[in-house]
Amino acid sequence: MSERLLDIAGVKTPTRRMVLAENVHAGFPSPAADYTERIDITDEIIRHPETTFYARIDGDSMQDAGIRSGDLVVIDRSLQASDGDFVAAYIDGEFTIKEYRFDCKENCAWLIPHNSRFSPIRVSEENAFMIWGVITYTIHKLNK
Amino acid sequence: MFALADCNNFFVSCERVFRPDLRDKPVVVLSGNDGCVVARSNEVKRLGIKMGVPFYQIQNEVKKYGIVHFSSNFALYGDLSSRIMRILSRYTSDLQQYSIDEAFLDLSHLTTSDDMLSTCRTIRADILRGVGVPLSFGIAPTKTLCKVAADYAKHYEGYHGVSIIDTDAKRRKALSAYPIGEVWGIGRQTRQKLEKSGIRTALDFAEHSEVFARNLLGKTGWETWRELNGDPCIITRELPMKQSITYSRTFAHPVTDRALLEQAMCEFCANAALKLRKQQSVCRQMIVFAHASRFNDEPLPAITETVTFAQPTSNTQELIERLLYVVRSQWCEGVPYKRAGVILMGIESAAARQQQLFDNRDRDRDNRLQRAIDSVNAHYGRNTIRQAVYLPAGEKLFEVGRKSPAYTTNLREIITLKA
Repeated sequence: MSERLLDIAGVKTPTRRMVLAENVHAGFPSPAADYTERIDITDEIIRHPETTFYARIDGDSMQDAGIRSGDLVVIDRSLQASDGDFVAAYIDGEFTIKEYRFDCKENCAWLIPHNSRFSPIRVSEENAFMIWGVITYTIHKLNK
Repeated sequence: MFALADCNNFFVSCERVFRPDLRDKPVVVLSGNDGCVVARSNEVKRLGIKMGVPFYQIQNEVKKYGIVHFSSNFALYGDLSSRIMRILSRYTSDLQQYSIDEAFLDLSHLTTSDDMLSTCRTIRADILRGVGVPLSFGIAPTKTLCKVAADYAKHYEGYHGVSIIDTDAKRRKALSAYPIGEVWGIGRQTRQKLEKSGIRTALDFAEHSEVFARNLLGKTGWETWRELNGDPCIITRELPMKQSITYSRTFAHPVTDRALLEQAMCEFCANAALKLRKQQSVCRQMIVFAHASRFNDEPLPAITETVTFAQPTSNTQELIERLLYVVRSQWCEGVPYKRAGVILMGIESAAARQQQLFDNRDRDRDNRLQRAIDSVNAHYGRNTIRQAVYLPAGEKLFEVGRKSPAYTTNLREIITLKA
């Protein structure tokens, strides 16, 4: 589109701003015009947009589960955490990602790392603890 | 019956979503340009710190009680507000958003008080878990009574966040302990007039005669009197304490054509922006909404978004660009849109506004053009020159100042999970 200037009351402004018709149709209509839908990966990854949040991973405690430092994770806060879910948890002043386990016998929760160099964390009443959300996807970049 | 959904200490609650360590700590949020307290946690309210005080005046309390303070993070508040409003719209076919943190829900599809209570409790739990913000609900036959009920729900833990005025006995009891000055729509001058007549509580006022109310206070006071007596007559009203400009309309025939809806909404937006410029002010936020007809059994998807401007604006073109982006990304084919509108909020004086460091608009040129258009329109009639509809390339938002990260609107500022 050309950038001719329209002079309104001494103000030079591109005519582009005053376009009256958006599309000018000319020639043969494209037979593909009705097939413009493209796969949108966010439809798959985000089931509940209102309650979906994102976080960045920092550390190696989950590497055996394929979650690496620098990965992006998708968190859905509307989901109730079940035994075996990966969760974004808040414990003693820090957000962390771990596998969530509930021990019915002991009536306590465990945060399980996936790396033999780290130990499971037993969550007791003394901890300031909350499950912030359930991890639904991790996004790991392969091509630098 | 209606329900008012009201977020508790909204800005503070938004900050706490990403800072769970601040849950029981005193927290304030300050306005961006003048450093006044615009939101307080309950801990801060209990210290007697008032809304609107300049931050420098409470330095002693800040040190003594360890009050945590934030600058306003409008990108965060706007995004969480949009999420909450969208969740609310699932439960009603008629949602009226009144401010960034309040909305009325039409509950006429529910028949019993138990249904209404349990629905509101469900919504409250959904939003508390899903977004992390606590809300209070007031259910009543009129919007003015909803405000009263929501106040009780907010201040007394026994209600667990939801209270209902569904009998005359409850109405009288609630109003008898409710100061007249707190009633929605009763300003300071009206309160003084009523107090001179010996009226202290909302019930005192409601029990005076209708003629008394109309003669002393005129139409607005009369409406309030009727609403307090359970007669719903207020359809829309701007919140008295919050500055906002609203243009909205219920269409005679539901709109199913996107171009028509866009045209109508652009007109609301242009009118609201003109009003804003006439009072020499600019706004920080714009709520854009369009809802389906209430006659549908199933609530249909609504268009609702709180748009935040990095730089406060009154420029019609800028507002319309953002409005169209919202409408086009949320438009659903086949939905009969019945009500639509635009609310401008975060209104401040145009003179006081600061130049933003990273502003990618030529404000001077925009303003000169806007003035030229306004003067042409003043001469030749409104809408002689108006915005043609086009979609701009995505505009980047920049925010400066001491505030929390844009946790939900900038990928570089999301939270970190330690692994």
